[in-house]
Amino acid sequence: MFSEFKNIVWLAVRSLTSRKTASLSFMTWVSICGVGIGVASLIVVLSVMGGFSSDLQSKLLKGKPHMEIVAKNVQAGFSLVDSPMSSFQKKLKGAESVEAFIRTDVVLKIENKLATAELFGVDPKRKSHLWAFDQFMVDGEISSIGKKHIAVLSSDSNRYPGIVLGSALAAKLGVGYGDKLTIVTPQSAVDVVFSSSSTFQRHYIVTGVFSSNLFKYDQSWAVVSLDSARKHMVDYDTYLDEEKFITGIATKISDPFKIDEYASRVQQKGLKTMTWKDFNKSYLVALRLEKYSMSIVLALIVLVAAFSISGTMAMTVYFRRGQIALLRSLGMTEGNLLGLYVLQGLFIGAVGLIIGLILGLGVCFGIYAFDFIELPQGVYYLKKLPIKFLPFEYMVICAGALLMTLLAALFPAFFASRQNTSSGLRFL
Amino acid sequence: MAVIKLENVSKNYQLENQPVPVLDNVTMDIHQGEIMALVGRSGSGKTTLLHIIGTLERPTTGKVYLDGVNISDLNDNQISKLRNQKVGFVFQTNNLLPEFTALENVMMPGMIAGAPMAQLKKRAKALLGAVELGHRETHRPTEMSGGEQQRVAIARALLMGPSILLADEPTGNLDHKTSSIVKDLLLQLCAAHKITMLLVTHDLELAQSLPKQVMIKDGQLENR
Repeated sequence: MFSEFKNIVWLAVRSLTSRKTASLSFMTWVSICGVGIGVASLIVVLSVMGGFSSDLQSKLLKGKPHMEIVAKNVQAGFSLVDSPMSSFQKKLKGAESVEAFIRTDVVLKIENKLATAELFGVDPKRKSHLWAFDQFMVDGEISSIGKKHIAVLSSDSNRYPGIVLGSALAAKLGVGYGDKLTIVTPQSAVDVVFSSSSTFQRHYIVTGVFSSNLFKYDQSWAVVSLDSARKHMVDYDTYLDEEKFITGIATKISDPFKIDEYASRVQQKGLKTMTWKDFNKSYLVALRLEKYSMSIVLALIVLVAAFSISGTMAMTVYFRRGQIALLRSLGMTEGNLLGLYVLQGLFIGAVGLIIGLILGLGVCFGIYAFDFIELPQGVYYLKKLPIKFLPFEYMVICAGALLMTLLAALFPAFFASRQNTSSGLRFL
Repeated sequence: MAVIKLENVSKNYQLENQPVPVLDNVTMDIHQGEIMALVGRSGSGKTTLLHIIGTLERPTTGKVYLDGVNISDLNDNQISKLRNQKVGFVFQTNNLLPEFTALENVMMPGMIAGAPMAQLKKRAKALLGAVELGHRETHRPTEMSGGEQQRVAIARALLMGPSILLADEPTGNLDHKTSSIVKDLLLQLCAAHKITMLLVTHDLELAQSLPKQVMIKDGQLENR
């Protein structure tokens, strides 16, 4: 049976590639090119989308913790006295870092310039690298937020706590190392320099600048110590200092894709977990949706090519009725005849697939190695078109293309095998 | 024992829901080594009878035996294998597959049967030599004359060592001289291999040159 199959394969290939049909009909070449273009397009587009996706994911993970444990009323925060740090460290055993943070919205003011900012409060003595300001300091040190400083080039000899700003935020305010600025928040407190019935203001000295190349952080983040940041929390009261209120616990693990396992360990009344996937759900869903919809659209190219193969083969079977009958008269079974034409269709599809693979991978490699496509800077956050090689996706593309050509060949092959031999011989 | 045995074989075709009779109660026995001409007017049922004997068609009623095997008991796969091994065909025209060389065309029945290529090649070369076309192995049908194509077809028909050779107007498209060459080749090879041959023709001169003739008229046989 194997030698029978081997001979059928030989017959199928030989009948397509013999000198008489070496010029292969025009429609057959159109079908081959259709499959090739479809496969190449899928490979290039999925590789570029994979590159964007991979880059975006690394950016999504960059500069922020993998998970935050916050109160159900996020702005209110929760008390470290009621929920001690040690309990979180125990539950999140295996995590690279676990630390407290405060986050609140404030306004920064210097002279007549104002800027809104997201104010972070962290422990100045910690050694972890959870946040963008930990990883990308360009001026000063993050530990400076734990000390009090005197303003540079100022007559004010008072000491104020340190503050670190994102580079774009600092540029917007026109401040640099040693400058004094004011944080304004809409509440009142005991320890104030200027107070009004509706705002709380406090002075800080700029002691550091970070630049992560992520505009979202560089233009809006400011960092002070936990104790300083607490004073800017919504509805601040000294009670919050006594109870050591924080906004949440931030954590980082070695494999961010296993974060759901850590999230499941933290089940506490009044608290909820927010992983990096939750923060970027819309991005991730949009990316996935875009990937699937692009794949479907491009797969249609291969489907159209497959229909072309089906049409071409149907014509071939019709015009070769006599030869089909001749093969049957020589003893070829219906099954072998079906196999012969299916193999011919698969062969056409396979040639197109190989051309598509070479073309697609060649383009991807060219983009990857030579970076000849530059992206407009004002529109994209990347300078060059990113490429990610996706072996699994390529295998799925190949399998899909072959399956489509197989199905396309099935109908004309079935038609050929069921032909009446005696009638067919009249067409010799 | 008869190599070919037909018992009350009838064949009708359906045309606009009306049965069109082509063969009417045909009974015949053909023994091993017999060489017979089947003659009749156009439309008398010669080709239909040939196709039924060659298992290319099933009779509407009646039984067909090839080498003692009742064809109606077999499924398509079994019939195809039987045809491959026992029956050789030579048709009037376009006997050969145009994409393949003369040698590959001769090898075709063996390839269908799954025989090893090397063995097939050897036998095919010998057969081409027997029909005096050894020098045309690599030529395609379009590069050969009509007579040469028929000789290749004869070589192919003999590849599997059949017990029956069925020829449907094998000289119909050939000139007189070439027809004679083809006819003599058929007779010579069938005699040498003890093959039973049934040759359909409307050429009475050709028919009379064969040992036995059977006339078919309006779907019924008349022995001559």
